[in-house]
Amino acid sequence: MTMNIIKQKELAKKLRYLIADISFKSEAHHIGSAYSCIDILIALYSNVLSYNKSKPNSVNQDWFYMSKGHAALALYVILAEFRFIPIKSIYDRFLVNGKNLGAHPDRLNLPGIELPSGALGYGLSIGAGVALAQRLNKSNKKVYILLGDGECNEGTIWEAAMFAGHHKLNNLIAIIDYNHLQGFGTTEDVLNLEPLVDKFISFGWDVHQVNGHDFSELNHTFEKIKNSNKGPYIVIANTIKGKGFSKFENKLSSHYQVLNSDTYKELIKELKI
Amino acid sequence: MRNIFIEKLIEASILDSDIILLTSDLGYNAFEPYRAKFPNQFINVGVAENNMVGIGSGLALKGKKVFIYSIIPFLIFRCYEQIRNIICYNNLNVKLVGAGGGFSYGNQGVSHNSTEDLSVVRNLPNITMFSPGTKTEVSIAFDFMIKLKGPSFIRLGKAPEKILLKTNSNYSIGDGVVAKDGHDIVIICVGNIIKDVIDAADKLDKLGISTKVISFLTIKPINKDNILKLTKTFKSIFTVEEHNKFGGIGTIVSEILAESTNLNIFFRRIGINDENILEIGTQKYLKEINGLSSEGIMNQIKVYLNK
Repeated sequence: MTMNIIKQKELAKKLRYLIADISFKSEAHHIGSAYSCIDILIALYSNVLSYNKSKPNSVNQDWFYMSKGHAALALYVILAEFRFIPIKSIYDRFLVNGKNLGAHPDRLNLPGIELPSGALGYGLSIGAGVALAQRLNKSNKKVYILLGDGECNEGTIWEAAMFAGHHKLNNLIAIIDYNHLQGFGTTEDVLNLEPLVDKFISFGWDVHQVNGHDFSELNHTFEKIKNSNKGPYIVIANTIKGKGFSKFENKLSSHYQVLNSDTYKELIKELKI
Repeated sequence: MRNIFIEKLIEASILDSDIILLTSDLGYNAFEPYRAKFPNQFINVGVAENNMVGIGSGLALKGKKVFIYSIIPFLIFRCYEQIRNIICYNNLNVKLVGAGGGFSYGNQGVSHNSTEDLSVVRNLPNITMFSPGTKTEVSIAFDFMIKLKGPSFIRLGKAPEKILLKTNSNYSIGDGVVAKDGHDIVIICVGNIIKDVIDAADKLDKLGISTKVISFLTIKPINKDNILKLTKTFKSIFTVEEHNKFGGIGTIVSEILAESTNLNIFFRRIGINDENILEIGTQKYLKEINGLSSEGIMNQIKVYLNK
């Protein structure tokens, strides 16, 4: 299961289109959040996370949890692509009354979502618990957690950071989607995370910094971590909120703005689909 | 109660290596034997209850049977959102073990005492709730708890000595247990206030009011028929709890009675009023000022019955 960078880039374009199209049709927001992390998700699902198609619910697989649940649509299109779910089923179920694909991932909505998210700050604690269980179960499978930068304001993130460092959870890999924009301002203005690298180093983590939209860097970093034994690992992915649509890039409003027919057309044009 | 609980947990853990005990730096003078016997099944996560709930949930997701221990306000009130969203919504096998039910922590103050927990936990779907009053009840509750595959909460306090409750072989989850017989009125109680209730009942007996006492060690689910059956024999029903009058056993019984037609029952709740307790004191003192000593319970019932 490997995908080269050219294919990953093509896929990034396709999934950005699907996110735009589904969001437009369902009047969904959080597009900026989804565009910020979609490349990270592609890197993880294309080349990193182990998956057994014949035993999709097998416990003996890598475990992924998207703690920043508001980028749910990015996860839905990823699961459609990599877990063989017809994309039509995402269109039919996303934000449709009585169906079950919400603006935040819910339980058992799609194969691959093992736990809902939406309330921020859960991911690292739960991930630490799963990682601990894997260690006790003598499994060599790993745990990947995608965090938003805003949710790193939550105390549980730092409680879990201390815990995972103390217990040297080698099988735990957290990725921070560091786009510097949170709910109501920049991370610098609201609650400065810096020096983020030093914080995690001091908590006993192995820290990696990447351009979160560069597949070469993402692939290389995840590969390096796989072959290392110095965890827990944090990948600080420098990203751009709304990446891929110039009107949305680095804009707080891309967290909330719904596409109208004009912005939708503009977006599609820019994606060159 | 904590000691009997840990004895039972040790017994179970010998047979089952999937049992894990997490504590947030509490358990001094109680958990040492467990830690010594099962170093791989015991983790002190540090003073970090929210993290503990997350870790416990992660462990449960991978098949572990997780006991999470802290003092009730830290465990329940601080972590309520996580208990709701992660544990209960996903029906995880996480067993919340709370110490200090009611005024058990006495003059440690309001931060440690727990008088609203039954009310808030009861609102959560999927959870099973135990509030044992005696060592026997702790033991029975544990045996149910260990078999549950979903979430549960046990409210521990201080167990009174020398009370042995008899349960018959048909006893099942949700049933009340007869703690004392009587034929004029009945008191339904939960948790460690059982001793005061039995003493109050003895006092009422002496005044010519023969009083039956039933203890419910399970708060949720509760066997409605057990309570409705009482209405056939008794015209006066009281509930007593070391908990706010809102949301605990008093509310549960009142809901059951209110939704039953054609009842001609005199019913009153005895518990803590909806106000902050500004005085400090021992458990005994706090019960006294809240009308929950045996004397206080007896007096309240006397007044209600105009006797």
